[in-house]
Amino acid sequence: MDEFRVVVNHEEQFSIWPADRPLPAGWQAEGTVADRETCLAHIDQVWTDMRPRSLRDLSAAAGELSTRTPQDAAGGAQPR
Amino acid sequence: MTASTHAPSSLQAPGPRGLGGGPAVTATRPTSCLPELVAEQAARTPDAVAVLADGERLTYRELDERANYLAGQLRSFGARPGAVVGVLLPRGADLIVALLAVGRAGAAALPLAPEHPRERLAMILADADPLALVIAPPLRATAAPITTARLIDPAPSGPADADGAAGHPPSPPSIEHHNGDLAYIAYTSGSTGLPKGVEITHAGIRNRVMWTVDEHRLGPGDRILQKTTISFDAAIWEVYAPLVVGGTVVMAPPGAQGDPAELLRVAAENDVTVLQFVPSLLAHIVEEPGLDACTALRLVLSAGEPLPTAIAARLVERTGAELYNTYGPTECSIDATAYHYTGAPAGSQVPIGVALPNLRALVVTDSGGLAVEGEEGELHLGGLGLARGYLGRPGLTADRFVPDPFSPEPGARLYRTGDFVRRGADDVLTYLGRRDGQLKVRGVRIEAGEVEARLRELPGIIDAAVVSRRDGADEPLLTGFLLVRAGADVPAADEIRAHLLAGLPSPAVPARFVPVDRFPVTGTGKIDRTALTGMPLPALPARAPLGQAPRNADEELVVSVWAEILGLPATAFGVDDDFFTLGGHSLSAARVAARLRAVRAVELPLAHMFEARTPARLARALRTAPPAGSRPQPVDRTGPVVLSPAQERLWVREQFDPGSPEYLLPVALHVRGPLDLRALRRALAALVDRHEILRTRYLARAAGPVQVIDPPTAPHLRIHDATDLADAALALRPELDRGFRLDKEHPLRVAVARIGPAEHVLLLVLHHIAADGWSMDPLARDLAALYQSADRDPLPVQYADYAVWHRRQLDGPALDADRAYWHDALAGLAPLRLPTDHPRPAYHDIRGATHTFTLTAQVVSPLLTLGAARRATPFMTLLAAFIVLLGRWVEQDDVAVAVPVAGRGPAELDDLVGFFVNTLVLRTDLGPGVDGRVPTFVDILDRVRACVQSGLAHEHYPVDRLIAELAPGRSPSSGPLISTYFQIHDDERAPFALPGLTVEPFRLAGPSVISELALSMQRCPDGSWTCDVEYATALFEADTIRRLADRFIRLVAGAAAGPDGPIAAAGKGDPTAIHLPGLIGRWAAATPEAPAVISDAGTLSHGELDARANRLARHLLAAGVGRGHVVGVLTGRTPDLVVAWLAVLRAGATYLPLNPHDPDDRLAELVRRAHVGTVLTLSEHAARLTATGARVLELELELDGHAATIGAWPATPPDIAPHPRDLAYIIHTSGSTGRPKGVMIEHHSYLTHCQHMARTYSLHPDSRVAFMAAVTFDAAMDQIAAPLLVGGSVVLLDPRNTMPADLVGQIDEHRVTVVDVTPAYYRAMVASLRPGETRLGGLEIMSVGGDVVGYPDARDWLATGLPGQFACTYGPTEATIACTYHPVGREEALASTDPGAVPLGRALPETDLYVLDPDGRPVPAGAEGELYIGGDRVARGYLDDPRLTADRFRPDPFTSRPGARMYRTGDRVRRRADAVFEFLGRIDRQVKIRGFRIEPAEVEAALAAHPGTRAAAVAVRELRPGDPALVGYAVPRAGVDPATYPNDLRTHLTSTLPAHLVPARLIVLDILPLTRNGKVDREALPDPAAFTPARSAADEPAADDDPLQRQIAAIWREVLSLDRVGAQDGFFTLGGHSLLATQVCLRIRETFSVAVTLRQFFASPTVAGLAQLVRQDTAAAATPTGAPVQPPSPAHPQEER
Repeated sequence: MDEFRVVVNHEEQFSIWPADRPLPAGWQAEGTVADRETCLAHIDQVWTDMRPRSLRDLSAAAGELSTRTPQDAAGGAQPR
Repeated sequence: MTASTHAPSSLQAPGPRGLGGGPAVTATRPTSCLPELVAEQAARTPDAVAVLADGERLTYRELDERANYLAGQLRSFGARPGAVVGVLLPRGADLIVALLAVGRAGAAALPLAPEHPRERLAMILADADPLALVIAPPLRATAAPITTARLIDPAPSGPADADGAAGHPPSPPSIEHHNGDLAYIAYTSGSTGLPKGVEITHAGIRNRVMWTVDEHRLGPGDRILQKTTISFDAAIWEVYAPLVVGGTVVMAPPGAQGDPAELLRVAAENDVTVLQFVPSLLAHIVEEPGLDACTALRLVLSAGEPLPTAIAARLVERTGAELYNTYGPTECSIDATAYHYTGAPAGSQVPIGVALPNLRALVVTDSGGLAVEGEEGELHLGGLGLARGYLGRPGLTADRFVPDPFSPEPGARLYRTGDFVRRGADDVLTYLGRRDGQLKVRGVRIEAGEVEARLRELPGIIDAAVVSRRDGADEPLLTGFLLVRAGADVPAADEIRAHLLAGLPSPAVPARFVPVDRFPVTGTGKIDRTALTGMPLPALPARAPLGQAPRNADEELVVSVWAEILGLPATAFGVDDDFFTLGGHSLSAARVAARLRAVRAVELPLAHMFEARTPARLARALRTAPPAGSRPQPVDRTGPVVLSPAQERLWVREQFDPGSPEYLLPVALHVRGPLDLRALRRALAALVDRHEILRTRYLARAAGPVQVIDPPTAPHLRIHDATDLADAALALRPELDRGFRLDKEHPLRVAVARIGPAEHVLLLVLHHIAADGWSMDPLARDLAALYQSADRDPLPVQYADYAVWHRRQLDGPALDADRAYWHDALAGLAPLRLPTDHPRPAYHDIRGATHTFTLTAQVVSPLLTLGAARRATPFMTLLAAFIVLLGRWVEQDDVAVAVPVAGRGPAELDDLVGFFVNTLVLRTDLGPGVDGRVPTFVDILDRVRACVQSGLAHEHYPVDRLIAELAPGRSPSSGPLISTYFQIHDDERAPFALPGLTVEPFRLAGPSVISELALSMQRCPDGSWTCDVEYATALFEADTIRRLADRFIRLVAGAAAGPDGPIAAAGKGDPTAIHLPGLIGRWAAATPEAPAVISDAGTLSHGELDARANRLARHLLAAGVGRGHVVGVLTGRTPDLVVAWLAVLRAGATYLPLNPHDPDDRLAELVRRAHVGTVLTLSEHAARLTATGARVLELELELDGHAATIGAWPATPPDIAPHPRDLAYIIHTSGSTGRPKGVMIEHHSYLTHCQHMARTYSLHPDSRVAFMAAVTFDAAMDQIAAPLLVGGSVVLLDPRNTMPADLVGQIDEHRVTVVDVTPAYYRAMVASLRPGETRLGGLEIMSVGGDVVGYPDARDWLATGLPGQFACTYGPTEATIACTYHPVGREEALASTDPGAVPLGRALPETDLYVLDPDGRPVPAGAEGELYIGGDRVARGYLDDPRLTADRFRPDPFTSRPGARMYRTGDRVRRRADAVFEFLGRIDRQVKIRGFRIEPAEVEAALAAHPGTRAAAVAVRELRPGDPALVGYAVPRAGVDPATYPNDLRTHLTSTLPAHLVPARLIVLDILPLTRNGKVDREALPDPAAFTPARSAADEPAADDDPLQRQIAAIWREVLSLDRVGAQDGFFTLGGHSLLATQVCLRIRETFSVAVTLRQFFASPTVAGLAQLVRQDTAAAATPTGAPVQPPSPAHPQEER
């Protein structure tokens, strides 16, 4: 049975990678080493937010910015 | 005579290499060995220059004589074949002489590097035991205690020297020696912890050198730079190759080997033609400005490490030099294989090529056989280059040099390299990696074992593992993991390093040590090095900086440069920290030196970096470093003194409006505490005394202005009384309203507003002629010191001295190069015309205002990290963002921004107050690169970095002079050449402080602006940045600037998130318009009347589309829809769909298309699964959505029904910019788990794809693209977006409800230029074309995709004679619509007589396609494999399915973008040698039917979901030739009524599945056939043709009594290939589909002369119903053939496809 490693990149996107192969640049081993099915089942559990991390961070950082925008858009232009 | 000849015929012989038998190519080599070949050359060209070293040159005669002399000496000490003679010399002429002399004496040379640690030298000397050591006299003291060898001086005491000449005449040259004798011994790292000596023979090294001579046609004109450290074997050919052909060895200065700038300088100065680099150095070389100066360079050899293609391409692009990538271990005489890089596609890494002549490269697989093409294995080398072995290590030699079982030559050996390679086509080898622990760091081979052995010697360390990791800048970083004995203290990193450095070369010393409790292990119990390489490390412990914090400007400078280059915070350093201890290495040291040189304009050799390794020492070195130019000296002040050129120009401008407040520099301070006014007066007097410039007047004289320095007088201190702070501001304000009369007044005045005894505002006002921003530092320091009567060191020079000196500099030749640079750099610069809110006033209005905003650390850090990875400083990175902002705002690709630089140069000017500041005009092109590609942010970053670096190298040329020269008559302050400034205060300014008082800066008034717009940024301690935009209030409204600032924030965030996305289409337009909806909106402004959406229902112009979409978007926002929300659109194929699509994107939400022809259950499922909160629909479909729970917005109702109607909203776009990584749309595809899969596509992918598609189709504003794809099919997404993106239009056509002939008519009528359609509809359309058809003459492209296209299809198109280009596209939804394109030329179509499939084509731009074997390794061209797709177009993944996403989207190991993913298509393909991809089939069961991707498993799941079903299977069968269809097989449960089951099942399927997933036939079986291992045997499922179709209970045989029905039934039977049909059988239930329906309609038209439209047919799809239609029509008099198109009817057909 081929062994895989659960890997994750800077955007916190998960994937699997053959355990005996050097990791591609930009990927880190998450810790799980098992057969493919086990790895994928594990990912199913841990990858709870599929948005890229940069986007998540931005949403969190600019929290006031993004929540403000709809009102901003409407601001001063409320019809009627 | 040439040095060698070889047999040309044998060069061509491919056979032996292919078989892995004999040598690849044999070449004849000269019989003489290298030392003798040099002698022969010397005889031919005695006066040619053989060696050029710093300040030294040797002719061949001199070299020869000196070598012979020294050889004679060596012989007299016993040198002979078999003996070893060491050479320990710094790089220089002596080194060449010595190496040659050792050879002439017949001994083996042992080259030793003086820079290696003494302990290592001792180890090698003990191991090799040389009989003599040629050594530089200064090194004798080092060597004497560690060797018994006789030490010999290389001094040139040749024949001219009377003493030595007698005993050792200059000839005969050589002692007799043999080919097999040793030429040199090279020591490499050994895994046991001891270095090992590799014994290289004369035959071996001669073969390597002569290969270069032949292959590269080296001749007397060639000059090769000898820069490799001599102990590395690669240095040997650098020495010998030029000398055997009469060329010149150019010796790089000692210590320069790691200094890119220095190496290139030497190469350029000496007209070097050939260079050799390791790729990690080459990576820096290709970015060095100095590379351009190497005009003679014709050949570069890269060796020592895998060579990234990007670097190779960059080198070739910049120099045009030939590039060879060579590979070889020391054990094989330097190099064993070579690859000539020609720019041909070569993957991410340049191959290592094929074996050199007389060498063999065998790839041995794990099973011990020879690898075939495409296979991997360990590389074994054989042939002439093989070393004799390891000196004194027979066991090790026998282990690594093994018998060659493949050679016909008896006793032949092979060297096991331990390198893993793949044998590709033509035996080209690709390097894959190491098998063992051997590592390479910056080209130096390191045995992890050797380092680990050393680490284990340390107390407390049980075990150690050393791996090469990648640092933040993706450079290799050697890291040591230490297993520490429980309870033991971990040795300090510095101690470990010191221990290692004693015995290892510095590249082998890990940069970081990480203690661990235990090592991760593999299944076999070994240390899992991969895990160590990938595992996240704890943040570096907050190490205590060694020594104090920086104490002066020089130390601060050093620390800030270190911080930048080492990527650590400046606070991490103390003044006694060691650069190399902190992870610095030779390359980063070179960068530090270069920065310090540039900043201080001093001479600072790289060697200083290695000697002065701490900030304290380096700062001292910096202060004492000789200036690049001369230094200012005190001048005679008895006569009038000239002004500096900058002062003079300022003075001239001042004369236009004398006393103007334009050039005031105010400093206002809010002082709390008891201000001692007497002390202040005293301090001011002392300040004026100290700085002459503050008591200087400027007088007009006939020859120009002069400065008069008055004796010191205390400045007048005006005191105002004020009640509070505001009042103080008011009282002081008049001080800023007037300038200075420079001829009468001193340029400093001081006022104090007294608010109370303990609160004052202190105002200092200076004239710019006497000060600049950088003057505030000395001013603040001096004022604070003088206030408390502290002594200050007297200033060595004053500004007047600088003025005289600088003028002289400018008049001399020193700045000629600078002038030439700037004239060249700024030639033809277009002024940056900022779009002002108000017209520019005739006179410069200095009133300004400041808008302050913050870039949070979260927003800015990713960009700075990205910048750091591209070796850009924060300054460069933020400047790049600002330039992009300006370029978009101004709609100009050519953007110049002014940047102030201190302009001070020599260190003694640092303490002066005065006008030194200079301005660099940094010009960046935002236009497409040479490849025509719109640049990405990363591209711009690279351009800005280069521009800043070269600008700084020429920073001393005064901008005033430059402007006067470039644009005479233009005033620099308001001239358009400089309208915009950018500045970063990255160094903490010394704050104004007065002892015992609280002093805070105080803003008294708006700034007086010199430019129109200026952005200055300052980093705060928390990582955020405070940004001040100063702007001219005469030109801009505050709101405009605020919006610009907001855009800057978004741009910074967006650039970090999508650094590889294009910065903007053509770099024009609104700053926010980097996303698709924004870019489309530009056309509404540019060409509002141009058609955008064309349909039978009318045309929407771009203006109308935009306005309607904007209103709807605002309506959505008001209804609470926001970023990240999914909005369903259920409209059918109407203009509303396009409006709704654009509105959803404009609102920042995600578009989910829904198809009204899908069953309600399916709609509900998609809405639920995609978390759709809102659905936009038409009232006719609204009722169908009530069950979904989503909010339903009916477009018509919203338009006019409610109080807040869509129409009342403004038509301007809402201020929303989707983030590049926000989702643009979700498209569902068939899923094998039985559920549809939602594919999530992000904005950047969508935009990039549409831009490439528009370019591929050559779309233009007059283009009209047919929207024919099913609305839920991803092809719809670019058919709509691509034309709108370029200002063209989308034409709504409905191929499913239109007869093919009518479709052709509509295409023609609407002047469609591009059709993109699935093969089935294409074939129907072509079949309907009459010969000589001219209607489609306007069609530019007929693009067919979504399913297999055959060459007959292409020939059919050719046969029409129409001019349009026939082409194919291919691509999965998961990689954004399409990834290949293949235009089929006439010749190609005609040449291929077979009925084969047209290839998929070549990759679209910025699309990485890989063909991989089942193990994920690339297969060679021509071989079959699975297609993987990488690049920007890879989807985010599957909606809510992390498991499947992780399985289908894998790490992309081939790209240069770390962390990127690639999508596994499941398609079997082959890549031809011409980079065209061919489709071979699916890997899984997925099928395509009429362009739709179908997972049979999904259909099986639906069959099984019926409560009456026990088991089910689905297969694909051709019901009619060439028309594959789904056939469903079901086994009912016991007790289920077999009469009703089939009908119930079909009803179930049609109510849950979209039509294309409903099987054309359903077959009820008693049992499913099984294979031996119990799986459904799909091959054994019965053939459906043998069965009659399923019947409903209402079925009856075709009524024989109705002849009309009988005729129609006959048509059905034929079209459907059925034996029987019932009068009430539904056409689609019998497996019919819309294309077959068109055939029925056609036949009816032919048979009865009655035109039944498809819509009518869909409304009553039975034989009986059709008969009824025909009867009615005949009665109402036959409609002529070619029936008019029916108006859209509200009744929707039951079947769309």
